[in-house]
Amino acid sequence: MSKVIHALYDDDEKLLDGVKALRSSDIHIVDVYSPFPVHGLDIALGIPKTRLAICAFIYAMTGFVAAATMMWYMMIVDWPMNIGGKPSFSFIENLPAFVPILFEASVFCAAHGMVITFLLRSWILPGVSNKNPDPRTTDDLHLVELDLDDKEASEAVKILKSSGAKEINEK
Amino acid sequence: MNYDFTNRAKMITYVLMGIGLVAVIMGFVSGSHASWGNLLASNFFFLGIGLFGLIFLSKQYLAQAGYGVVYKRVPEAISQYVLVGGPIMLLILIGGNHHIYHWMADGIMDPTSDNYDKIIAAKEAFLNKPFFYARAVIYIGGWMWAAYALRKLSLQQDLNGGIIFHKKSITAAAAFVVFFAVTVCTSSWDWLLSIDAHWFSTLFGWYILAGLWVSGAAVLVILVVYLKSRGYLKDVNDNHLGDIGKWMFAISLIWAYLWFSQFMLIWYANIPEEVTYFKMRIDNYQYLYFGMVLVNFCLPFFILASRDAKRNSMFIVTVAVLILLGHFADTFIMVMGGTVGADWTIGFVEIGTFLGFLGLFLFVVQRSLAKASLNIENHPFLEESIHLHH
Repeated sequence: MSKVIHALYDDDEKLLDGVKALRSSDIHIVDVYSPFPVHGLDIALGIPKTRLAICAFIYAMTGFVAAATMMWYMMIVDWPMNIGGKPSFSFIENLPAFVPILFEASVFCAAHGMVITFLLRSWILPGVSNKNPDPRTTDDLHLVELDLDDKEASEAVKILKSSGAKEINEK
Repeated sequence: MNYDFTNRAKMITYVLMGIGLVAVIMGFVSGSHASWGNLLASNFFFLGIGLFGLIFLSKQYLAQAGYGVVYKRVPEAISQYVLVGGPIMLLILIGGNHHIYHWMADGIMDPTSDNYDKIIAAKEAFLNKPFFYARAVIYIGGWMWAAYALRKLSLQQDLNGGIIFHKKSITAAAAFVVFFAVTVCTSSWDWLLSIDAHWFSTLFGWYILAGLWVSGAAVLVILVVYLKSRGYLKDVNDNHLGDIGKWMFAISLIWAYLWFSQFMLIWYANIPEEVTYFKMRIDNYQYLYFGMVLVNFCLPFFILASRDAKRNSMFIVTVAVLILLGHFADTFIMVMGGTVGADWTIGFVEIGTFLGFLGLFLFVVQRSLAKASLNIENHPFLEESIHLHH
């Protein structure tokens, strides 16, 4: 029989102590809900570094290449333009005129791509139901969620209590 | 723990200064335009790095930032170069006058003279010798006061404690920032922009500010890593290093943004009186000019973008050294393009002058590092700084 435990803390220092104690006795933590970002919680939970930055780089490069291709085709190939009184009709010699668009397209794609990736990855979409187990975590309480079998659960509750959890709910 | 300014380190700075002295003398034997230009470029470069020390300290105080407290003595030591480089700057401006600044030549403002230049004469209200030198004295005086005051208050705080010196530092920093915001622009117009008196650029001051800021951040990185490797600054960890790396990264991009803004508008409009500045430099300094842009923009952009690279001291020091060379090339082209134009060279005189000022800078910085303990005490944000993590 597995048990879901919700431990509520009213202090972020106590929360950090609790999380560290649980991790040091090899108890798996499903998730932590908190009303504000807690310094050092990511490290204490052992969450790997975000890969969003890598996505950002890829999206920016996509935007860069798309904008370069578009301008090369429009301004050089399909309808050669006389840019700034310099009718060279060469992409590289007209590059200064293209740089602002290359920059903006890269930023546009990086920013939108990151937001969309983040929303999809965290599954925050219109119509998705609320995953928050206790509405008080949006106000003043931190919640640690555990999913354990009976034997581990009793040990976890002990650790949670000794670290100063305000309230422990078992389901 | 005080920094130990060893005899060997002293010897190195003396040798560098000696090379500089020989180079300057050799330069004057062969021609004064280039020599005064060299002196201006080298001293302005290091004076700018000194000013970065003041900017860094001021913004720490004003933003109530804690992250830089553990290595606060380093920007303080860098800022002490202002006390030496400032007066030298004044001497260079006095000695260099018409060798550097064409608008100071005899009869240039006189309609009856053969030398008369209508465009320059129209700028006489701003570009005249008494006002020029009076301005220079005001800038340098103000900066030297800030370098003296911020250092003194910081040392008193270590000795006596209490919040009073911190509050006084905030006041001094606020006064400096307001004064510097104006004078960094006007001084770069005076000292660098007016070399090409026909040409003007409205964002020149910010461009110079970004350049000296990123050079200063590079020097800060190198000094912090060096001091750490010698066993000082025990509280400095990868997070502190990463923060200085972020400054280097961010300001490199701002510098590139301003460089390109200045270049692109003039390139696009293609107005003869504006493009001369760039045409002259691109034609005569081709590889150096675009090489400098590559080193100052592409290199930090691609290398420092990653979080791990900013925390690796070998990586970050290598990038810092290259950025410093790149920004010196930038200053060099700005000055030499106006003073000697196409007749530039890079030889013993140019490199020697740079090394001479490097020696002087290292001497001043190391001497002030040795004067006070590198461990900060009684600073209200010290605890926060020690526990910095991201």
